[in-house]
Amino acid sequence: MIALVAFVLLQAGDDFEQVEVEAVQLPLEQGLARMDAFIAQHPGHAEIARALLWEAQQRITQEHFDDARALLDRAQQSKPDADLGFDLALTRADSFALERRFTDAALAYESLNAPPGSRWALQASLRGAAMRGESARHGVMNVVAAICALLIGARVVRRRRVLWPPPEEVMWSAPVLLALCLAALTRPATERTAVLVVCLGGLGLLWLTGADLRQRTLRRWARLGELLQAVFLTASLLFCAIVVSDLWARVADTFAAGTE
Amino acid sequence: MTATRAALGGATGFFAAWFLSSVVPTPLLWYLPLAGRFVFATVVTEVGMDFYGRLLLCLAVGGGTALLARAWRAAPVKTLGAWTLTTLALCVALEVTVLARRNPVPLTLPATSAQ
Repeated sequence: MIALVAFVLLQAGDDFEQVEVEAVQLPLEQGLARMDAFIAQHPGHAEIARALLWEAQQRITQEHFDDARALLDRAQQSKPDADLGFDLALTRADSFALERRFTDAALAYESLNAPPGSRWALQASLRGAAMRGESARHGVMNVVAAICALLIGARVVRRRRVLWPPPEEVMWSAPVLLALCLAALTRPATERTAVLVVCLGGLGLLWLTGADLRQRTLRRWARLGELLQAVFLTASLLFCAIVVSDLWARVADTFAAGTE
Repeated sequence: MTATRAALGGATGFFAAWFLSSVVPTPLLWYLPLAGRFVFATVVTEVGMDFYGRLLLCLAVGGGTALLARAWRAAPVKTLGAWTLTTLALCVALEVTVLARRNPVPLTLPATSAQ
């Protein structure tokens, strides 16, 4: 590995296009080493900003977001032309989005100030709107999760002595939830997370509600209150599962355009 | 009561295996009608029928769970009945979802010479 890196360092030329082609063909770390060598050998090269942008994009794919933004800052300091400057700003905003810092991402897209009608302006506008939506949804999710935690926590404290053995409702739904969890394990991470959150959260709600209802006799209005609370908790669980697993856009598309 | 427990346990295993083998890529016995032979595979690239293989798998799993339920003397029949109904409901929901979206495309007929 060291010999290979040393070899590519020795081979470092001054044609950025060729260096980029070589770096892309190498494994990621070696490609980065190749580009580092180019940057070190040609500090005043006209394409330094592009080289740094390329490195930043690779760091983003590795989820090294702070490193990527440090590289973008260096690229910005090398006084790139206006077009490249917008690419750098857009990549910076994308890094916030991929890091799930939605508010920072929305601000970064808004502060791009690209010429109206340009591709940067269009991308910043679309992605900025998406980030504002995500930011708002996560805010709502935090509030909803806090309310649910209070409701559930109060019930757990009140009924902690009667939680074992599990109520019949839990036993009845166990095979279906188990089958769904097993099926979810083979799905992509987003779907897997959503299904597991719904199944395990639903099992917890069933357990708690079943144990609670065994202990008291409800009158008419209390039944209605209990029903409304159950609907709120179930809807909250679904909402949180969809938001936390980044499935909101797909669910919205499915409702808008059908399952196909 | 032992027979009821075994039947409900077997049905639960059958339905659970049907659901899981439908949504999780599972190696099955496939019948290839054009080639006139059976193959054991997860997916096939030609016209194939997985019904018989899936049925055999589910019967085997159902047989196993029936024996388990028969041996589990303390198993409440009400709970086993609930398991049977919920797993059946899961299978029905799955099949309705799959079949509602299915758009069968007929195979191209072999070329025949003009009469």
